[in-house]
Amino acid sequence: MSALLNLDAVTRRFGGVAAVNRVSLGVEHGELLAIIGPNGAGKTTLFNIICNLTPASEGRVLFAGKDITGWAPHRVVRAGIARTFQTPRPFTGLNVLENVMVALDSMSDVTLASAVLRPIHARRDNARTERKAWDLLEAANLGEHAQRQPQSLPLGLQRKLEVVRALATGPKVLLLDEPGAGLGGSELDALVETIRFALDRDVAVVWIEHQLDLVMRTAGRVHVLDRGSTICEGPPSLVQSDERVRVAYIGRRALAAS
Amino acid sequence: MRLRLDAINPFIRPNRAAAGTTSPSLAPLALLVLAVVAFRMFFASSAEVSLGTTVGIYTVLALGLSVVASFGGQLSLAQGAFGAIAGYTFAILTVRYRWPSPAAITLGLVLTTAVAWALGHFLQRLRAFYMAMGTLAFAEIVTVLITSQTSLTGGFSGIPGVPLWRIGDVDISSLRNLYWVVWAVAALSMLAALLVLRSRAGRELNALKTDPLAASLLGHDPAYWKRGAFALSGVYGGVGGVLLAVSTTAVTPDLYSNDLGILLFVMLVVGGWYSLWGAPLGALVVTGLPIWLQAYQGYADLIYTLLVLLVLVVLPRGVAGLAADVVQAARQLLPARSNAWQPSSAGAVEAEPEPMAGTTR
Repeated sequence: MSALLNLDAVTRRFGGVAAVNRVSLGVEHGELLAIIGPNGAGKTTLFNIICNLTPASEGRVLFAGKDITGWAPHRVVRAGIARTFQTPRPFTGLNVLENVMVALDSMSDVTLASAVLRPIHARRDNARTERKAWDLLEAANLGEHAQRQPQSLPLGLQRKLEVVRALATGPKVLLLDEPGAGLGGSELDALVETIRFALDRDVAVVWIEHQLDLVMRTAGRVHVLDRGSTICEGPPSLVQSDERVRVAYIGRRALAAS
Repeated sequence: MRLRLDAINPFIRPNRAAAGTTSPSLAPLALLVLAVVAFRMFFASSAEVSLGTTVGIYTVLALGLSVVASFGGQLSLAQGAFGAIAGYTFAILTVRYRWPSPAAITLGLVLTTAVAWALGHFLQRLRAFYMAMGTLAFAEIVTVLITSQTSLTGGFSGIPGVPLWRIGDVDISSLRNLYWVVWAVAALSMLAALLVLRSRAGRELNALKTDPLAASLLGHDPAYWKRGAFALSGVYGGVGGVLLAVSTTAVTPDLYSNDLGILLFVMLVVGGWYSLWGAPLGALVVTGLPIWLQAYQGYADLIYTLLVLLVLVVLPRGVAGLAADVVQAARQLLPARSNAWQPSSAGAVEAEPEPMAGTTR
C-alpha cells in the first residue's frame, strides 16, 4: 500500500449487478498503467468511483496516503487526480486557450468579491493564467489552435485538448477514458505522443484502451478487467500470454492477428 | 478576412497578444457616462428626467439578472423578489422603526445578499426550467409574505412616506438629484459587473453554464459558483430595490411584482442576451417604448408587443449585438488602423470567433 493511488477492494453495485467487484489496484509515481477488458467490464465505472461520480458501494480509494473515498469530484481533482471523458466535453462558449485557462483557474485565489474589490490583482492573476495556458498549449503543439472554438477541431485534437486541459489542473495521476476510440493511423501516434507528454511531466497515466496492439506496445503495466473483476495484472508480455485473458478477450481478437 | 500582423510576420507568435473572448472592454463605460450627461443636457422636463432615472434603476436590476442568467446560465425569476426584500427592509426600518437611511439600506442589502446566496445553495441541483420554477416559487413566497403580513408591510397598500434622503442641506432624493445618484450607482454597478467578467469568474460562470460536470472535474465546485452568482444578483437586486423605493417614495407589492422579474428578462433579450450592455440598452428600450407609443392610444400595447417580437426575429443578439456589428463594420472601413484597434469592441462579451488568419508555422 505504498503506491500513489490505491484502490482497496472497491465495489459498485447497480441493483443486483456488481459493475465493479472488489477491484484492488495501485498506481505508482509516473507510470503508465493500461486498463483493458471487453465492453461492460467496468473500466469507466472504475474511473467514476475514483472521481466519485458514482460512489463506491464498498471499499476505499487512497491517494498519497489519504483516504479520499466520498470526496466531492472537484476536491478529488484538486488533490491531484484529473480525468478525461471518452467523448470530449470542451466548453463550447470558450476558445481553446480559455478552456485551458479554466483548468488553471482551479489554483487561483480570485473570488467574485475580490474580482471587484481588488481588480488589479484579478487582472494580474488573469494575465498569469493566460501566459501559463499559452506555454502549455505551445508545449503540446496546440498553440496555433489557441483562438479557435474547440468544437471546430478534429476529434484527435479535441482529445488532445482534453488531456492538456486535465494536465493544467496540475495532477499527479491522469485518468484517460478511451482516448483512442474513433482514432486511426497517425492520430494514434499523436495520442501516444500526448501520453508521453504527460509522463514527461512526472504524471502517472491510467489509460483505458481498446486498441490492444497499441497498449501492448506502449503500456508499462496492464490491468485486465472482465465482468467487474480483475482477471489478470502485470507487464504486457505476461498479460498477453495469460490463459484467462486469452479466453476473456484477446483470444478472439488481436492475438489471432499477430 | 482582415489581414493581421502576426499572419505576415513569422517572428510574432500567432495570436498570443490577442485577448480572450470572455474579456469585455471597459472602454464603453466612458460612452455610458457621456450618454447619461448628454441626456440631462437635452431632456430637462420632469417626465423625461424621471424616465431617465427609471432606466437607470432597471439597468441595475437587469445587470444582476444578466450575471446570474445570461452569464451564469441560471434562469432566475427571483430578481424582482430580491428587490422587494431590500426595498421593504429599507422602508420598514426607516418608516416604522425610524432607523437612519444608510443603516437601513446596509441591512437591507446584507439581508438580500444572504437570502440570494441561500437560494442559490438550496436550488443548486436545479437546471434550466426547473430553476425557473424554483425561483418563481421563491418570488411567489416573498409576494405572499408581503401581502399577508399587513401589520409590518401594509399589505396591498404598502408603506407610503419612505423618508426623503438628505446629505446636509441637499435632498438627494429629489427628482433631479436622484437622476445623478441612480446613474452613479448604475455606472459603478456596470463597472463591477465588467470587472467580474474580466476576471477568471467570467470563465468559471461560462463553464458552469455549459457543462457543470466537466467544470467540477477541472477542480471547480459548481455549487460555489451557483451560490456566488445568485448572491451577486442579490446585491444588484437589493440596490435596485432600494432605488425603486426611494424614487417612488413608497413600497407596494405592485412595485416588485413577478411581472418585474419577467420584464427584466424581456429587457435582456431585447437589449442583448450575451452582452452586459444589453442591460442598459434593454432597460432604455423597454422603459422608453411604451411612453413613446402613448401617441397611438388604444394600439400602444399591440405595437409594443409587435416591436418586441420584431427585435427577437430580426436582432437575435439584441440591440447590443447590433451595436457590436456597427462597430465591427466601421472598423473594417478603416483598414489601415484596424490592428491598433483590436482589443476594444462595443459591447461584446459575446464569442464571435475571430476569423482565423492563415497562421501556419
